[in-house]
Amino acid sequence: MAEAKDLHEIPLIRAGLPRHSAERAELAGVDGTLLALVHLAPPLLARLTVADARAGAEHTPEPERIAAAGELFETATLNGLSPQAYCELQSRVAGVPVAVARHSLHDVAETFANVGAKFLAERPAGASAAPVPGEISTVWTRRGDVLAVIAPSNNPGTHTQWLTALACGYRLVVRPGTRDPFTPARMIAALLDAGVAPHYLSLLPGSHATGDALVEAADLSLVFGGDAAARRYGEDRRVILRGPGRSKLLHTGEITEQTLDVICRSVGYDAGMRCTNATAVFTDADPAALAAAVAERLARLTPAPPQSPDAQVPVLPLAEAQALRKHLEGRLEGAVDVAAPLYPEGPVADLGDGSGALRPAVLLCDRADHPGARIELSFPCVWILPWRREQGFGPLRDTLALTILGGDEPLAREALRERSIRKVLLGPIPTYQAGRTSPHDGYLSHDLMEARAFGTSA
Amino acid sequence: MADDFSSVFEPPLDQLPDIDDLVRATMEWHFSPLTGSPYWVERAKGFSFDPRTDVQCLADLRLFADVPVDWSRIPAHQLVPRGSTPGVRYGIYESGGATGAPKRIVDATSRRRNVQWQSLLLDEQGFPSGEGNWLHIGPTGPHVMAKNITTLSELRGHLCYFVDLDPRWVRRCVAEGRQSEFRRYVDHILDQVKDVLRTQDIRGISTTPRILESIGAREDVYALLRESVRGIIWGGTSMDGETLRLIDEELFPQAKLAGAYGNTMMGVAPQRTPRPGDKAPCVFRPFYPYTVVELVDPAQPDRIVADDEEGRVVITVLTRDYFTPPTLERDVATRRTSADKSPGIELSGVRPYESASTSVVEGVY
Repeated sequence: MAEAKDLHEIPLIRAGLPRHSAERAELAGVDGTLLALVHLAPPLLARLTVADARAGAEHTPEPERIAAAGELFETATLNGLSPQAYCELQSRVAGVPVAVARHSLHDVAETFANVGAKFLAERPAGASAAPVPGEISTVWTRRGDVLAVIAPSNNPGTHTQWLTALACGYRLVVRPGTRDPFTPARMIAALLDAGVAPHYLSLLPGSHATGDALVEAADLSLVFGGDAAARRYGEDRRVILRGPGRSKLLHTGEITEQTLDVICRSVGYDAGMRCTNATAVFTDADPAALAAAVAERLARLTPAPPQSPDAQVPVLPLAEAQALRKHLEGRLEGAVDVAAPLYPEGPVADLGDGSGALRPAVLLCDRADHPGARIELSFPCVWILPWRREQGFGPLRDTLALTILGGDEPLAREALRERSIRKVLLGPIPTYQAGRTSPHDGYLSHDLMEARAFGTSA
Repeated sequence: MADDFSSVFEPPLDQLPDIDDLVRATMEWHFSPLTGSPYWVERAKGFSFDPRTDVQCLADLRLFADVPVDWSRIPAHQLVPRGSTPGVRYGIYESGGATGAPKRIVDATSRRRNVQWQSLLLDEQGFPSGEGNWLHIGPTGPHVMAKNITTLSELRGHLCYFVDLDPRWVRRCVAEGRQSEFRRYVDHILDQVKDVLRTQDIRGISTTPRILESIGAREDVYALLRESVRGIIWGGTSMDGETLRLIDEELFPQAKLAGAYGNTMMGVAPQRTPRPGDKAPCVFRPFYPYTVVELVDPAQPDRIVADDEEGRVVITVLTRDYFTPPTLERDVATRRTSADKSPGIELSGVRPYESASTSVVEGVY
């Protein structure tokens, strides 16, 4: 039992003010070491906090202020944590390699700096001018005042999505994921230090019930979650669901070094824990040859404790890592893991400290409609499926990001006609690449804002 | 009723009996063919022991470990002791069915004594009485809670109003994921609460934590209640310490709060008066020796946990109206040292027991 004084304490933030709770949870690293004490918000506090957020005056933060906060996020000591100390805590608890947290420092800061440009790029041209007396024109207005965010823990980058909402003028109440309260806590500390109005920012770690109460009380909610979340909130029109990415590559023609390079980066970048990491590759070449080559490359990713700069794959408590692999084995339906023979000690690398690193899985399937293409797990795990031109894009439905290798523009245009494919990249571009203002899953601001008419007499 | 057992079953509340005397009286009363209930007398024929001779103290009740009792299937009239005074009216009370089919018990006067004792503890805490009326928002009908509140308000000089809540319907809505239906039902209840508050002088309420929270989310009902309420008794389900603090300090700062842990099977374990140095904001005291609560290691049910350790609740009930051998309940709680040298244990942090299991989540967002 670690002394409470040795643990990093994360208070909840109620309308900008840190608060202690009678309910607390200890957070351990993946190796079982107790590292942090998190103050928990019960469902009632979710409602009270939304009321507090609502009560304050209108004070939308200027983009410059948010940009300044980004610089603080990257460089300042916040909540008593230097940037490096934050990275270490985040990686040890979430099991994400520390290198990911380190480059995320800069990526997150860039998102902060870019928030104003993004807002302007997403706003309809017709709503860009200030209303003029005597004219009836268009204003770009919020659909509500308070946004609940039910955040995940898989990658610090996911949190940058809700910054858009802050630039739109929403008051935010964030329920962080269990394993990563550190990133939103740091973002909120940076924003408060930069002078964002306190009632625009709340952080409420808590249970599913707290999340439910929050979704019920807020005007709109951004919910990151899988099929369970879809079942929970699917009926609620006020909920913007960010579901599984199920990102894919479509490969046609020769298997080249470049092909393999783009596929493996798409699968393994940031330890394969992003929604834009590839879950499946469809190929019209020999799937077995492609799978073997991909497996051989991915097997080079280094398993190491998350705080080690060498680490390249996710780490979980050993029993959880083994349970995850066991779950995968139960979902194969005839697919073969061609990477497994490359690991003499097994696909979970026992790191000897109670934790296990998840080594990549490459699953060879015998048909384009194999269910594997929908099975996305939080480590480098890719399904390789045969595909024929005449099968079209049916098998590639429900895809956050699609890279087409060896294809041509007509094929890319055809992909764009499938609405459930949210991003199409033609050429050797990894699935996770994005433009400065390109949509991630549509423009979030379009779910948060709407155009309305406004006119005054001259 | 006055008989040889009265000094054990019905003594004055400040002269509670020795636990082993009560165990022996309970065995004699419930298992004697003359006074016992048809159910127990019949079942005892199949026991490998004789409760009237082999059970002499609390520890001997472990002999009942191999005697499973399915309270949901017993024809409840068979639970009424033959020795009960003619004309004494028994009622049948049912659990909410949280763990399956509703369990049934019978009660004539025992629960009333439990509530009288609860009322003494409320007095000790300076809980308001006499002024204005009472409103119970919660289970009525087959549930014992309404009978208890009727008794309590009568003892404390209030007229009692009721708004009925069907816990089985609520549970069904939630289990089937019918959130909107559940919300509609809660609103239906709160509309009725509002009507009572608008037209009647209500100073005290009894309800569940969930309803208290829902009232907080309904501005029209909340404004009325905050204004008038001076005493709140909460129970039926657990409440975490932070929610309790928020309700006490923010929602109803002018009201005195008192918790009541209990259920159909065990009776009421009221909150005991807080003491400086308490390790929990709300500590419950079972009605010992009539209700004996023990906390055991969930992984090793024969090990009783130490003070300040969490364990799973085991209850034993020893009253004239019915007998429950030691039974593992669905709740877990933290054992606390008894204040004022009161016999029996005290407990805090009651919550439903969930076996620890994590399922793999698919999808990366």
